[in-house]
Amino acid sequence: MPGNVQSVERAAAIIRLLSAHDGRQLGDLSSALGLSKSTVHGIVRTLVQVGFVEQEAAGGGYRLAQSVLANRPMAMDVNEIRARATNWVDALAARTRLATRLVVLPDRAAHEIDAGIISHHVFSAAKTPQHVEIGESVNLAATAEGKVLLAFAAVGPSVLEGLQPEAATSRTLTDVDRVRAEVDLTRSRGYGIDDEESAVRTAGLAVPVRSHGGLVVAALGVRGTPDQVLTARHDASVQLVTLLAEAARGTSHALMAERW
Amino acid sequence: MAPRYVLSIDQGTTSTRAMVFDQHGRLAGMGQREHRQIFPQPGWVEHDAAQIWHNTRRVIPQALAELGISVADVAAVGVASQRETFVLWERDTGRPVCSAIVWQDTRSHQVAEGLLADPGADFFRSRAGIPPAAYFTAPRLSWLMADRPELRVRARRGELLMGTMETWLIWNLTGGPDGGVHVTDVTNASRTLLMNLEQLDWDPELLEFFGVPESILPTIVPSSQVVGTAVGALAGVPIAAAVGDQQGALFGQTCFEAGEVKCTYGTGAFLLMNTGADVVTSSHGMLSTVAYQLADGSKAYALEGSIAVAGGLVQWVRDGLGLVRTAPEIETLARTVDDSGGCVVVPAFTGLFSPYWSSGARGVISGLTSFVTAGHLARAVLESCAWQTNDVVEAMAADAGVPLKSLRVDGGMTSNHLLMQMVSDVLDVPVLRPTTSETVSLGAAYLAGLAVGFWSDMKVLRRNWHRAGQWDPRLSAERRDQQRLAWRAAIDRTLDVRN
Repeated sequence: MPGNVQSVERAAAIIRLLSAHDGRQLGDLSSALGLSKSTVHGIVRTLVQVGFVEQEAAGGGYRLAQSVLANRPMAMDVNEIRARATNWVDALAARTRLATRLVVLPDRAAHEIDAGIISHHVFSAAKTPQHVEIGESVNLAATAEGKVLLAFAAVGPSVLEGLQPEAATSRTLTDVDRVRAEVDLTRSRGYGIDDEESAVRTAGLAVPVRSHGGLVVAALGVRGTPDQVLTARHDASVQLVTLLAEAARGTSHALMAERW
Repeated sequence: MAPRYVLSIDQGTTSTRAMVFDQHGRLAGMGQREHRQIFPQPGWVEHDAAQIWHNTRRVIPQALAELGISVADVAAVGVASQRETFVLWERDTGRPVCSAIVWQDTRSHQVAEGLLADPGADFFRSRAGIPPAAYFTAPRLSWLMADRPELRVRARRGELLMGTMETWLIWNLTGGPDGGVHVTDVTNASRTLLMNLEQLDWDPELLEFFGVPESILPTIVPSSQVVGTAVGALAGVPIAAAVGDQQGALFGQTCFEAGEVKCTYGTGAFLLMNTGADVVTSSHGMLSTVAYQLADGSKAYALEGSIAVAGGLVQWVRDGLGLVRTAPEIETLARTVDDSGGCVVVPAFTGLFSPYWSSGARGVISGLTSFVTAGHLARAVLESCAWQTNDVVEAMAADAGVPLKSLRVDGGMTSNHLLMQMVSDVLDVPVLRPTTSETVSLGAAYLAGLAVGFWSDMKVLRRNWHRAGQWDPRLSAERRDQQRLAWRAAIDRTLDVRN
């Protein structure tokens, strides 16, 4: 049997120390654990990066992040996500000529979440009137992005438990058991489909965007007419799923980069 | 098979990048390397031109490799560059004889101030379209020749060549000492303070005034024209364009018609308005410059206005005040309130640029009451970017005699959704953002592609422009006028040295 992973043990010890007392300095942590400052610094820095620990601006002490304590979905600011992701989301729109959206869950306790938020939205190449949808809500059970977040986000199962799906079109799934089955299907195939469920003559495809350790923090989707997005048999266009996955990988890197 | 791509080199202030664009103007591959910033004395900024050329040779194969294509797939190369930065080198060896002296360098500040104060200063504007400021090339070149007289002697003997960065790179790309082509384009030359803006040629009186021997100067060519063929990594590929970065962005945004304006939001912000085939002389503090010249000789001029502090103000809120952890978070903070609570910020950190041109102005935060929170301040910071944009746009519109119909934007700050809405509200016109944010490189690629027929004409380029987002004005005229009054009052305080 392989032994324990030492750095995980140490990270757990640091989290335990911070949960007992906030605002500890690096020196406190290192003497409390009998480890060198540089070892502790490396672990704390990683915990800050993954959003478990925050550094207080004044004094530089460390504390556990609110989002972890309160079962909230995000560690990163929704506007920062857009700034980091924009090159990839823009490029996806240029490549597919479809509208693209990056959707996240709001920074609230899981049981209070009833919709997703559009972090970034890029117009389709169509000449039709369009408006910037950034900041608007999306129906979690009806959209491709929403289904991906319910299926993959850390708080997805808790959100799904309290969700009361609202009908947007005649094709929206409003029966909770059918939504559950659709979310399971989304998880097993790795992408979400919206087949005129959130708006008529509109279809969507979305894939998860991962951050540190593989956690899903956003859903990246394209939207267009059903014939632009789906096959004649109402399946996902294989080419679009490939382009989405590629853009999602790039977005993940952008979200995790220390400097950007 | 015909080549499917055009390659751009963007020689910028902090890094050199190579970018590959496809027929649709979409970015397909990129390589990037930063170069050293050298600060020998306070106010001096230099680059190592040899390092920049070294980096250029590295990023080109990097960009091609990222896309998995060979040089045979490249139809043409265009070079965009930071403007006004120059270097001198030996014609026979290609060795630089000085550091590249960067546009940010203020060593010739006092000389330039003296010239500006002279009653004859209008002479420069009437010939070159620009005033004798330290960041244009000529005052720094003149300083160098005076500081190192041996360079003047060698220059007169014909041993030295001078160039802005695109000139240096094109000379090296086409063989260097072994047949390198020594050219600059009209847009870069228009920023040297040595070119006659009407004739698009070196002005003998300006050369004499700054003591610049003509033998060291490159030949001025159109922005879009095959000037030579590359050797080395890009062997056989035509070098088909050169353009200054801001003019490149104007072209990349396809602002081809008179009256069309783009604004690039970075640390500062640069607005350029295409003014058509004739020079428009500003009576509102704008600079006159060349927008581009095509191979057939057809040309467009532009008015340029700059804002010293835009994104830099957000960096100050982050680093100086510690109100946000990252720059984009300012939008989150600003959205905690509905308005600025009467607070106005004017970021005249080192004076004000267009249209005020006051180096003595200092920043102001006005309308402070105990009601004002960090959120109000964040909002006032973003509003100041919008109102500074408006000041420049209004001055340009007055000079050009045409009102603005819409504003095309690019640069990092365009991901700030709230700011883009504010700009639209304040200017009262739609604000448009394209999907290709790398407009500088795209402009150089377009100019190069046009020269070799990769793109047939400018109409095709127009169709490549894909709208990523559009913000339409929502602010009532009444609210806009209130904000305008508060902004004007704060500007007046800024210009008053006693504040």
